[in-house]
Amino acid sequence: MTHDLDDLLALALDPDGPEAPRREAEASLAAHAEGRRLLAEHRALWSALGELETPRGALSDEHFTDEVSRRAQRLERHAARTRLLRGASPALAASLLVIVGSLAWFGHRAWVHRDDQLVHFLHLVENIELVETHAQALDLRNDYEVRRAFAGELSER
Amino acid sequence: MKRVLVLPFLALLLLAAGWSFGHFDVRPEQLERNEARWAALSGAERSALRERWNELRSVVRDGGPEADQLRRRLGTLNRMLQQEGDREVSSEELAARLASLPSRIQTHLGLAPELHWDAAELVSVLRADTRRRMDAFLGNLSHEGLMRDEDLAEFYVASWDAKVDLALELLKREALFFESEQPAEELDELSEMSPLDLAARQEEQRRRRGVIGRAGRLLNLTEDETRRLDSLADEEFEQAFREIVRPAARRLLLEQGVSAAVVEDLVARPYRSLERTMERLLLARR
Repeated sequence: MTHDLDDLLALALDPDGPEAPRREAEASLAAHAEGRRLLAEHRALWSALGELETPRGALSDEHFTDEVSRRAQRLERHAARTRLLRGASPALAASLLVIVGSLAWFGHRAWVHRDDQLVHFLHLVENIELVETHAQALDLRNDYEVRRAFAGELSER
Repeated sequence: MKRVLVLPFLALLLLAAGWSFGHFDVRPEQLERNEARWAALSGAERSALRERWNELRSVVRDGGPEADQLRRRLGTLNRMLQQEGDREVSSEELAARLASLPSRIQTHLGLAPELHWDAAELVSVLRADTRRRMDAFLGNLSHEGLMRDEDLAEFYVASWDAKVDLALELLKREALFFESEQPAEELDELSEMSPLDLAARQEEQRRRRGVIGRAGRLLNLTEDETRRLDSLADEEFEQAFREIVRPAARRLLLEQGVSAAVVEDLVARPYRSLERTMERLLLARR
C-alpha cells in the first residue's frame, strides 16, 4: 500500500508527467483519507519551498527523504520551542504578576505620595485665593521681612 | 520590554515633580493640623484640592518669573502661618492682617499716619530703609574681616534684586554659622530653608533667649523676661533689648573675663554686632 501510494504521489506531483495518469493518480489519492493527507502534505512542503508548481525532477526517494528529514527537523525545533514555552510559562506568568504587582504598588505609592505632598502644603493650597487677591500685600510683606532680617545692624537712633 | 522600563521611570519623575515644589519651613504642629483637616474632607473636596494643587505645581514646574513670584508669595504666607505656632488662623483673619499691613508698616517706619501713602511710595520708603540696613550688614561683615572689599564694592553697584539675593545668602550663611552646634541632621534641615525662613526662625530664638547662638543658652533670662521679649512688636524690640538683654550680656561678658571698659564698648553696639562678638568669644573659649 505504501509503495502504491509512493507511486501515486510521484505521478500526481510530477508536472512534467503525462496529463491523464497524473489526474488518475490525483483521483486515486483523493479517494483515500491517507492519500489526501499525503498529497496535501507534499504539496504544502513544495509550497513552503516555493516550488509547488515545479517540483524539480520528480520525487526521487533520496530527494523526498531529504525534504522530509528537513521538515521533520523543523517540526522538532518548533515542538522544542513549544515545550520550552510551555515549561517556562508558569515562571513567565509569575514574573508578569510580579511586574504588574510592582507597578501597581509603585503607582499606588506615587499616588499616595502625591497626596502626602498636598497634605504637607494644605494650609497654603487652601489659601491660594488669598494669595491671588492679596498678591500686592504679600509682596509688601516680603519686602518688610527682608528689612526685618537686617534689623539690629545699625546703631540705635 | 521598553514599556516595562518606561513606567517605573515615569513614576520616579512623578515623585521628583512632587519634591521640586519647594522647601518651606512647615512646623510639626502645622503638619498635624493639615493631616487632621485632610482626614475630615469629603472626596469631592479632596478632588478639588488635588486639582488646585496640580495647577500650582504646573506653574512652578514651568519656571520663569511667574513661578518665582508664586513661590515667594507662598513662602511669605507660610511664614505668616508658622508664626502663629499652635494657633489656627482663618483665611478671613489673614486677609484682615494683610489689608492692615500698609498702615502698620507706615507706623513702624515712623511715617505720618495722617498722610496717605500709596503702595508704590511705601515700597520705595521701605526699600530705602532696607538698603541702609543691608549696607550696614555688609559693612559690619567687612569690618570684622568676613567679607572681601572687592565683593563689597560689587554689592554696592548691583541691582536691587541682586543686592537682596546676595545679602540674604550671606545672612543665611551667617545664620548657619550660629547654628553650627546643632546635630548634623538638623543643620541639614536648616540649610534647606530659604534665608527668610531661617531668619524668621532665628528671630523666634532671639525672642526666647535674648540673643541667637551659643550666648543665648548662657544668658539665663528669666521666664518673665523671655515672655516680654516674645510678646513685643518689632518696633519695640530694641528698647526691650536695652532693658533686658544688655544687662544680661554685660554679666556674661564679665564672667568670661572681658575687661569692664571693653564690655561697655561691646554692649553699646547694635545687637547683631554684639551677637557676633559674643559668638566668636565663646567659640574661642571652648
